[in-house]
Amino acid sequence: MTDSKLVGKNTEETGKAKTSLPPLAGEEAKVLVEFENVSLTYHDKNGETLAISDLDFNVKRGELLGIVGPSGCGKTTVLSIISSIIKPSSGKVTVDGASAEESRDKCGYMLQRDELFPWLTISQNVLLGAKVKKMKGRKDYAYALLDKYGLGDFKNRYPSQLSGGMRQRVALIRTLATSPELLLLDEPFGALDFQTRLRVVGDVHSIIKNEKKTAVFVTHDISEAISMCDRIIILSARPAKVKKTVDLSSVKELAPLERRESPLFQKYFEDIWKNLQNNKDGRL
Amino acid sequence: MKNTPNYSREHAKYLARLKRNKIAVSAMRWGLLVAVILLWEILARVGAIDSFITSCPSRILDTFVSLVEDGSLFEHAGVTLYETVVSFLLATFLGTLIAILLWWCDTLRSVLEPHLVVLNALPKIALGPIIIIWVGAGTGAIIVMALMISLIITVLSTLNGFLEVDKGKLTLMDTMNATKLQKLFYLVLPSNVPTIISALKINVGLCWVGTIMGEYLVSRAGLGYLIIYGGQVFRLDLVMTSTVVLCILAALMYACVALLEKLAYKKFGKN
Repeated sequence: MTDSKLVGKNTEETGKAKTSLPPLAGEEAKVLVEFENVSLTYHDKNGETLAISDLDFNVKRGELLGIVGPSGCGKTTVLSIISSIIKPSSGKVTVDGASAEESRDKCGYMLQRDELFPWLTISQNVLLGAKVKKMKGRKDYAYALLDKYGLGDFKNRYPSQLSGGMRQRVALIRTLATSPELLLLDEPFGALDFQTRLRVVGDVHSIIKNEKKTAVFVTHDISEAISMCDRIIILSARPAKVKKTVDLSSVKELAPLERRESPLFQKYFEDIWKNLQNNKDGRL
Repeated sequence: MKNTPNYSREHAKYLARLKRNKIAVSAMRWGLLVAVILLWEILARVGAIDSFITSCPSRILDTFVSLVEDGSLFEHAGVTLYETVVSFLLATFLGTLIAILLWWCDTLRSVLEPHLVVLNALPKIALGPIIIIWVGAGTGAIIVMALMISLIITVLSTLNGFLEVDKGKLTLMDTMNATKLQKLFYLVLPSNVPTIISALKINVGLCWVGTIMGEYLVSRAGLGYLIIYGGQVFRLDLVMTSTVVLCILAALMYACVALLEKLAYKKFGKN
């Protein structure tokens, strides 16, 4: 009996050893998210659509990675796959050394609209994620974040009493309140007017860098991507593949507004724009 | 939005005009009511209408006083009020519960939806004889009748509200890995408080209809019984008095729900 138990235990361990990655070292330790040959097929009444085919990319720890691409190319789907809301049809997705499914609580998602619940106060809204994930003792941290980013006086207000930019900051703090390893930002500024947007982009960028978070930022706005990200990958039209990677390390130390004034900004912009154009026309 | 003293004179005039308008409307409202009552009374007194057939305000008042004195008014109004309130609460509770079930289980919803729509279209009074045979002629039958009338519309309108919950907020709950139960309690129910309350408002009226109809069918006590009885023995005073009392009770109950709605909108209203 003891023997069979031991055997069982052994096989379990070897099974585990097979699926888990070898001890992380050097370059590999720096990778937080890894996509390997990921494909996804959608099914609906009208047939099936290959949305993503053989997608390969990674996100390094502490990096702010931008994903741009023509509309409908599956940018949001990529985020949904990372946070394991959608499962890929084939391929492998690794988040923090485990499968996306196992790491799902490590992701914090921020959507295009703030989606604050109008019947909850700001502090209740900010703690919603922690409440859903049944995490205890997040109150102090969430309140500290609110204080730190100028929302401390609005804890007991309702979302309707706040401006659009403030609400978006509250939404980011709601995402941060669960201390995610990885932030997934899905066009989080799309619903704001241009002036507010410039300011909130700066705010969000500095919050992410301050809190030393890794983030994946999806947008169709090229200049926004250049002003926020450390690296940008350009996706092709459906089925999505990585078309080009643009390294922005030379402007990495600049704040978003400073980047817009940098002479390199235009160069990056044209580079990305050209790649997107080719995409749409389907020419080379 | 407190009044600030430094309004321009024009604005002060505008505010005064608004106030005058409001006073005029409410004066006309009450004036109309008083005028109709007075006209009715005068026409009856001068013999232009036969008060044996139409009754008249003073006779309604006399009947009211005598009904209060022998205590039968409270008995009958109490019975009707009890039946209405019970069926109202049951309809709201069961209706919401069934709507939650149908929201939870897509297959169940698809299977039952056409049946519910047909049931909703059926004139419920047609079920009267069946209800009397199954439940027995009594308070139970009246409550079931009122429930039949209000339950299905509650289910349908509440379910509709549940299904129209903001997709973005549902996605947000998905990104937080919320379970279906959490979605229900944190998002679907609170965002539907206004929907449920407007269903309540419709239900108040429907439950009164159901109760009175039930009392017509199986009358032993209640305002519906008084009306039917008064009609049969040609005591129009009794019929009119009961109708007036019914009218006042229904209006009071509606006002309670309207107050509840006001409070709920403050907290759960749309942004």
